[in-house]
Amino acid sequence: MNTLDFLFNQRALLTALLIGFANGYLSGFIVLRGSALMVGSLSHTLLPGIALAILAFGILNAFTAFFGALFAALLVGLGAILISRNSRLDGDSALAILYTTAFAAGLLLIDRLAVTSELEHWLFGNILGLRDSDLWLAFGVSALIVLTLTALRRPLVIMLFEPTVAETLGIRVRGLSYLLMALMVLGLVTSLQAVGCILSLSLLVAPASIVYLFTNSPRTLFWGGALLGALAAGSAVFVSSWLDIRTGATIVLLLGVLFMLGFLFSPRHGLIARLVSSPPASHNP
Amino acid sequence: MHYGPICALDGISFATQCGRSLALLGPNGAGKSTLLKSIAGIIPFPAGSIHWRGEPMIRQRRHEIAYLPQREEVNWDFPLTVRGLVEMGRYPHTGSLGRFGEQDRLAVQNALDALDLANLADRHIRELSGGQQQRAFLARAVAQGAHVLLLDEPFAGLDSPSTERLTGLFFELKERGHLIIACHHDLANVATLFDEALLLNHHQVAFGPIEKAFNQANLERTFQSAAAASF
Repeated sequence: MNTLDFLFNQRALLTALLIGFANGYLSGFIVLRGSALMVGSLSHTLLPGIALAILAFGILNAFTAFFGALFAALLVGLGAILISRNSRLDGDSALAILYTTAFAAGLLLIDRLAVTSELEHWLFGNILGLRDSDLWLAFGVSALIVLTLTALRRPLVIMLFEPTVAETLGIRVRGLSYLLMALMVLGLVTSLQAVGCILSLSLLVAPASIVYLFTNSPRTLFWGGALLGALAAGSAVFVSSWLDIRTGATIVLLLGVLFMLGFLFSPRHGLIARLVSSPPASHNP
Repeated sequence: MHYGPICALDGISFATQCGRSLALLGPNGAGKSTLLKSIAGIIPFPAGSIHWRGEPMIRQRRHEIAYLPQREEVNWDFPLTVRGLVEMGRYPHTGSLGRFGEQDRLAVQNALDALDLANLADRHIRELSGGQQQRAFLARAVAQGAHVLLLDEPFAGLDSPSTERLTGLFFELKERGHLIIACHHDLANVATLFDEALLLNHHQVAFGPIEKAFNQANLERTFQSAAAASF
């Protein structure tokens, strides 16, 4: 490896660790909220967001892509809430209409813009092509996500367990829901550089889903998800560099393999454990 | 209280006090759960008011009232131990950013001891029996320092020993000064469990001490209108 390769890889490794950690931490809240599909829908708004960034700023870099994607995701997410609150339609249907409309508009817009080669980096991730400014952006956003969620962990867990009762305990449920959604969008946007628009959902769902198969404690779920996210993203940088394959796809594939292993072999909730265990004993008072 | 054009509750008015137990009786869909959730502050009501300690109920005092949901409303797969559940009751005392201190730990341990759950504290909530699950939620209410316990069908689905145990707890909690308000459907044991009864079917049919309000005439008025409505 020459010096230039080493520098790129070092930056890529640090970014992968940061993004993997923050999104893995966030994934615990997404899994407990059952919002994986909503985040999946929002991930489709990243593409029109990038198109919007090119249109508005004239150039495509980490900052313009970040703000374009953030704007589009928030617009669609909040728009869906607005429609569901003011019509007979449920939130999922409203979100489906808005994100497909935004995606279609983004596709048509991108056809008009001459950026197809660069665009592929944003669709599928290009962690090896990062600059120092990209690393700082990832650091800032990751720190914001982890610190906010850690500070508000207790009310968030109560809200995720029993939203109705949370209100009676004095928790501002609506405000916290909006905050959580905003953090999910931030998580999606930061994972753009690591894994791209299309695969960004994985880093926000898979790490905690794997840990969920092994733990009964929310705290372990969050921190375990963070460590697993960082571990998977960091290892993928080495593996992809060694095998000369795409880093983003390697991160997602690694997480997918780990999930399948957990699903099969988890001692308490794994498929094999369920198959070999005797039928549950009747409850005693 | 309305759900769209449907009137769920109307003309409900009663007063009770701590150290008693009150049964909410009525057919399915009579508005018992709605009334319980309104008192808890979960469902806002467009008209009427709730007074607590002689004053209109304010948000800051809501934690003195604890609502225990029906078992089917709880996500039993949530990664939560009994201790974790009881610790949630301390939230009104610690707030969002406050430290979970020694006093909170002590309150949680006392609640676990009082409900005889100390040896189950590290169990996942799904791994408990129905009776133990009810006790875990009661322990959270005790750790919360709630004076009023609102229970939605607490005896539903319990076997006979668990019912007996929960009955004993009812009396213990009353003796400690808690007010228990519960939706209840088993008319056979109303008189042994409760001091007062509120019979309702969208509107109030009767309210008073159990020996006065819980009688054949009131039961017929409460349940017959439901039977007539179903034809």
